[in-house]
Amino acid sequence: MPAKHQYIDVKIPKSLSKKERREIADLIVERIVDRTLDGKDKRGKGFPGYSKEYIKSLDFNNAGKSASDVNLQLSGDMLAALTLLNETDGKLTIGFEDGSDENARADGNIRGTYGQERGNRKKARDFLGVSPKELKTIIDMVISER
Amino acid sequence: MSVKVDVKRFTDKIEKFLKEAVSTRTIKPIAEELTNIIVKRTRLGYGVKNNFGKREKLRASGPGGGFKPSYLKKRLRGPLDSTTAPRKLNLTFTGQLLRSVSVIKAQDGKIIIGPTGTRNDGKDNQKIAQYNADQGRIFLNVSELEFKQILRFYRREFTDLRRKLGLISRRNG
Repeated sequence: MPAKHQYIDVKIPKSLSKKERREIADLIVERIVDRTLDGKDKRGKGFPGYSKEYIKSLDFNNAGKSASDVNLQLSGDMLAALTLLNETDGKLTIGFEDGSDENARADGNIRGTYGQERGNRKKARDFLGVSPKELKTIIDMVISER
Repeated sequence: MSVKVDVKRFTDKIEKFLKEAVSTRTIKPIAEELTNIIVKRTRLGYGVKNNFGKREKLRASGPGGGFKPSYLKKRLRGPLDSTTAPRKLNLTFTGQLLRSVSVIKAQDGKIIIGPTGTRNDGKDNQKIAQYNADQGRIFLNVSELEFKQILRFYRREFTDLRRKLGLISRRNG
């Protein structure tokens, strides 16, 4: 089963300039990455732990990962691929390129599929999102720089 | 056999902030981070044939891209480095090649990273890397997503992004 395209639409004030929209998109992407590397999902909750098999795997060891630091980073490519997909007056679309390997990996984490057809909420690590409070902080920050 | 990243080449193409990255203060940490990314990706079993292209699984010259039977026998006998397994294709047997990859030069807007030194058996690590490259196992390049990782590293370490993310984090936990 192909991975679902993973993206979010973010509503922003229509009064913002193109430059400001891009700045906000950049800060949203960086915030998502920052929070994910800190081990927290889009609601600020800690991610479910890694499986025993994964912790014992050669890749886990070779990537220098720690069992106690669940940060969705192996090679680093998935989080590097998170980007602004589209921007219009009042809306930003942030996510992964549809059909890419990184979208598939993100989909595995977000829905908890990890190669299976069905998702598993208990294993899901949904990092793709920004809270209203985070968004307000970011928009206020960009507007304050006018 | 080494990777040469001409930082200046990308100043106009990517972002203005990379202009600052050519300074001596910032270029060394960038070069070290890039070395870590290349070594880690190779240990995970991927190479990059073209700079700023996509990473690809490393393949050996045996049947189906696996090891030749005679070489597999040797790997099964071992002893292998702890960063590999008999059937794992990640340019590792003793581990000396990837451990030798380091920053050769990081100044004047250029970063050169490559294998260095000789091995226990007297062979040159650079020659081993060249042999692998001749066989299509090219690992000393930088993929597009790895370059994005480096840009992020630079921005987080040396630009105003660090302060902004700190502020967002303090207000949102």
